[in-house]
Amino acid sequence: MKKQNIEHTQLLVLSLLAGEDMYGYQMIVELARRSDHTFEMKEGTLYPVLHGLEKDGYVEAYQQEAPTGRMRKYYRLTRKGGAQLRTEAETWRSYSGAVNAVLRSSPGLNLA
Amino acid sequence: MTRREYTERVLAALRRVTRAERAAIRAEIDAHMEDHVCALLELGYPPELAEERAMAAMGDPEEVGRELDKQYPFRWLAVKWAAMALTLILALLMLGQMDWQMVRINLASRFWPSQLFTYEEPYEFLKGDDTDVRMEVGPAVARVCAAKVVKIQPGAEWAGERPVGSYVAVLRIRCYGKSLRDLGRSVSVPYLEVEGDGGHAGSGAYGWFSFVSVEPGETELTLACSKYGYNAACKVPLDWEGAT
Repeated sequence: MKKQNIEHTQLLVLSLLAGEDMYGYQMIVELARRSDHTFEMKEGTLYPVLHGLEKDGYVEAYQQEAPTGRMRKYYRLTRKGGAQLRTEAETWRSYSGAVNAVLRSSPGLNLA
Repeated sequence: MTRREYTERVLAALRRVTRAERAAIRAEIDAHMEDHVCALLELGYPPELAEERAMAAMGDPEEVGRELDKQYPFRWLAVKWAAMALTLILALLMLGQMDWQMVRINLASRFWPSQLFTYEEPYEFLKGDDTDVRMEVGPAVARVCAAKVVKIQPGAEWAGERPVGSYVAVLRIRCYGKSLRDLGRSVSVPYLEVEGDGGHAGSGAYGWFSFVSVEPGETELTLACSKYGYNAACKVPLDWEGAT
């Protein structure tokens, strides 16, 4: 179950980075905003995911100075990461589609 | 717990990262909490509460550290282990190369000094020579156990350039005490050519041969030794028996 959670976090992080380069805290804020606070993770656990993606070559990191003068570590999606995102998104779509199909066919549930 | 302590606890769980990676992780986690605290301060949180919330939002530092550590390959640990294994192999090789005879002699002369000067001459032609001249060189003793003159016979390869029929004093010098081999090499015979050939003695201490060209009528040789800041000299009577 836990492994699945991390896989989902990977998918979410990859899709966040598909839009723009981001630093860690920004990803947490964006994830909470876009999911209407459904996805609120323990923030520290984002970094193992990011470093794992970096190790696998799906993202790459670079330093950039923040307006406050502090150096920030930004992450950028690589070409390989983009391909991985498409694969994972497709897997997720077929998975959620299947779950929805089962739910729709349940007689006890009244899903419009 | 302060923010610094939180980061320290995360870092404490890291085993596989390099110094540079560790520093980068520290900076990243510090920056994250700093960002979060700043955001909460902007929302009007009191500083203390903002700190507390930001840290609580991070989750268990040990778990974050453990999960982070898993993302780093085993390589540095492998290098460390390889280095340790190599050191062990080199140490074993070195032990194999050690002059154990020398160690034994050194230890024996240190802890059982009474047995120092007991030894039996292994070379037949030197047996029966009762020369025993001792030269104290600071903490060590150079002992001349034999000083036998031999006439060079045709075909004696050991004699080198010396003409057949000339005489050579074969000195058996043994050293006791510190750095035995060094001491043996430093014994010299002033104004006379000396060639040496060292080697293990059968027992007791290190043995050393010196070959000194002598003329008939010479009854003694003067030996000198300069070592460890000490100068010593002695006179050695020559045994001409059987040479002429």
